[in-house]
Amino acid sequence: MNRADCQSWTPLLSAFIDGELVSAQRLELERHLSTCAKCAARADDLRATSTLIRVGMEMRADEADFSDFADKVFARITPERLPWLERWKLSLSELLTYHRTAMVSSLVAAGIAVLIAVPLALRARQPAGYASPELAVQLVSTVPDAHLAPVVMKGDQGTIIWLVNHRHTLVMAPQAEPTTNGSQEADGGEAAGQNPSLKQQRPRGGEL
Amino acid sequence: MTSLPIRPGRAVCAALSLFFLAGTRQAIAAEPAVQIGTQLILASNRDSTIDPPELVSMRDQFSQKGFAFTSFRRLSGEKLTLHKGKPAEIALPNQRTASIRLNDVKHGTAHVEVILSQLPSKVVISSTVLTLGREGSLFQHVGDYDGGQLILVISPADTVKPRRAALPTSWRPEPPLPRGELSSCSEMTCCP
Repeated sequence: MNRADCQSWTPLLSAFIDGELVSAQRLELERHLSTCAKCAARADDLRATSTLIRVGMEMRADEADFSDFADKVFARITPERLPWLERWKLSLSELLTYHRTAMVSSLVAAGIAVLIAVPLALRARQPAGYASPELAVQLVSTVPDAHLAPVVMKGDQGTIIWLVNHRHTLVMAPQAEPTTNGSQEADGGEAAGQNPSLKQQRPRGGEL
Repeated sequence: MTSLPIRPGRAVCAALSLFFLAGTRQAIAAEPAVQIGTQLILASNRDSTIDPPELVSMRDQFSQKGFAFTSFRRLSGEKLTLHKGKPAEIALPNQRTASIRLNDVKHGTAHVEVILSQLPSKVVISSTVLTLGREGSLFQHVGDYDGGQLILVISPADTVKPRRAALPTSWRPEPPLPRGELSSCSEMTCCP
């Protein structure tokens, strides 16, 4: 057997040991191995090596723990539960994609509701009963038996109501009418409240 | 796509419904009630005390109107919450009482009545109807006392600092007047 023949068969030895050669090639190689001691020894070495590797792999496999193998596999293939924010985003995007009309109408309704609710809430914050910018006196009255005349004076900081006793001035000056709020009434009341005696001392003209 | 259990649209609608239900219930349940601030001021010419100093503006206002009081002392001050149909009574040290009544709240404006009565018979002396406002005060003369004049000030509630211990220690309740009789010459007949 020449050296060139051995070199052509050597690459096929591994496939031969693994049983991967077609029958014609396998028969030819077996015929060569029966005549070539060197290639036969090489084939035996390869076979022994393969056996050793297989036995070693089987030993490693026996040592491995496969008790939770199935759980680990299922844990990997089951989809992970998203955080709530991601779920909401996903749900919103789904709604805006597949239920756009309903969502737009809902958002418009919510906007209108906010437009109504915000002024109401702001109004509720304002103290109740103080919608008017300024305090105003509407009516002042006294009972006749009290002999009091209310004098209303409007000032910068509010309205002064002064009760003037006219029991002793009835004869000398006309009774002050109950006045209502207003600058004119205030001025008249102030004058009456301050200097009723001026009216008494005012000179009266005689008959012409 | 799998449907998720929580739907934002439904949650928003539910929240809005609850909000409006609560607001409507509150609006229906709330009865008219307003807060006012009241102060009882003793104005006199006894000295030149202005107590507290904030009453300087009141002195100036009265001075502009011809009242030459030199002393203004706050005897009491408190915030009152007026409910419709439940008048608040302020007992005055001069045998009188001021009854403050919330008549109505129209368009957000409170209509309040101040009724001054003589004790013990509660004979009504005067009545003042006013509408509350965010600015301005009512300075209601309520009679004389201790050589001066008592003034009941009604203001928006947030302008009053409660002060209850300012009544003079010398003040004692006066003996009640005969029923139905008014104290004569208790008011000013001219400027102070």
